[in-house]
Amino acid sequence: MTQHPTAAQLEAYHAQGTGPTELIEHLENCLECQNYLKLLEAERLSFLEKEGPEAFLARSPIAEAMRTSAPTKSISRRWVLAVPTLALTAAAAGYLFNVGPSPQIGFKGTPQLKVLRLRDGKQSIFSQKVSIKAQDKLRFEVTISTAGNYSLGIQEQGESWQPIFEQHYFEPGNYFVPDDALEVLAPVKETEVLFGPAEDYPNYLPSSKAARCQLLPE
Amino acid sequence: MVFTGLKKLLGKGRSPPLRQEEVAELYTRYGALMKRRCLSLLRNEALADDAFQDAFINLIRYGAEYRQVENKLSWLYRVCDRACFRILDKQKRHQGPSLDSVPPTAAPAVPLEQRGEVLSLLQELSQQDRHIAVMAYVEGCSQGEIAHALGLSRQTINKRLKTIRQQAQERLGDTP
Repeated sequence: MTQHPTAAQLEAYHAQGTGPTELIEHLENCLECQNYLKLLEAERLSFLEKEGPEAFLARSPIAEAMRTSAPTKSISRRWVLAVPTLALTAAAAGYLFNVGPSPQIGFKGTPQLKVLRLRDGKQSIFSQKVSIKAQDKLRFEVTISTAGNYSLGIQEQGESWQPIFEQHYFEPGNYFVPDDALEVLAPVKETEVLFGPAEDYPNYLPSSKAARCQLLPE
Repeated sequence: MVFTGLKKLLGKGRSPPLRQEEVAELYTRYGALMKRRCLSLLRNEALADDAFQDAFINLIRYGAEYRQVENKLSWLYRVCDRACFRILDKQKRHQGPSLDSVPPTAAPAVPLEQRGEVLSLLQELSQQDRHIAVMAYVEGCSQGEIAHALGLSRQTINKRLKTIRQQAQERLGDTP
């Protein structure tokens, strides 16, 4: 490592007490970086002296958050319950909900994909682009006119494909997938959601057989 | 990776929220660094404390993912960044208290030239430019590292940083 490590690398080393060999070798010979670590340690001690974890946890907004924090599952369940057509037959797999015969199933060809976004207790549905931010919850409504194996996944710009499910058999119908909502954590890049026949998976682009929707970080 | 992405919960039991002892451990280990991060971005002790507290509230409510994250500090920084950006946006709308001009001491890799000016410009930048500016002027990442993390070309990063610096320069020129 000829250049200085980034601040984040040094800070991670300081917090975790371990790091890559390159970094450790650099530290042995770099007075500037050693001084930076000493500064971080001094800051840490003064920070904890000023307010220790007990005092911080006793702050009323923190204590309130600790008291009221509920498992994410309950949030998801609340959302699931908000989906009007849920009282429906469970689908082939445990994580899929068939929402029953739908008037939308009259077309042939490309499957359809819609994004359901839950934000601040409000549910909205989008078909092409949806803006997302941390703490949003997402599910997808897929509509299939031809029975077969389908896959659903997301691809973040510049990243590899992340399947949500692969090779799942669907009868024609409308489905909300997956069972549990996906939770948006800290989106930075545009991400594409793709749903289509499993045989093309994961090479959907530029296949016209797949339905897609863009997730745009706010 | 900057983007933590969508947490896949399919078919798995969800992690329960962080327990009190986990939050206390997180605070002891990473608290000072998180606070420093907030201070770097906001340059105001009171606002940094607000952002820091907001970041923890979010972690307590939604941060179960923390247990599985590989690069914990980087993930926690993103949580802090978002809390800071929300405050910057609020500041912008409501003309809140002015930000101090001196960010905390930077790591050796961070370019010091125009650092203060660029950080004082954060409020006016787009979300993407904010991330670029933070990676360059708070973390000291190279253009290649920023490009890789944000999924953009190095040329784009170069261009964006040039524009950001230009804006900072112009702003400095406007200051009497």
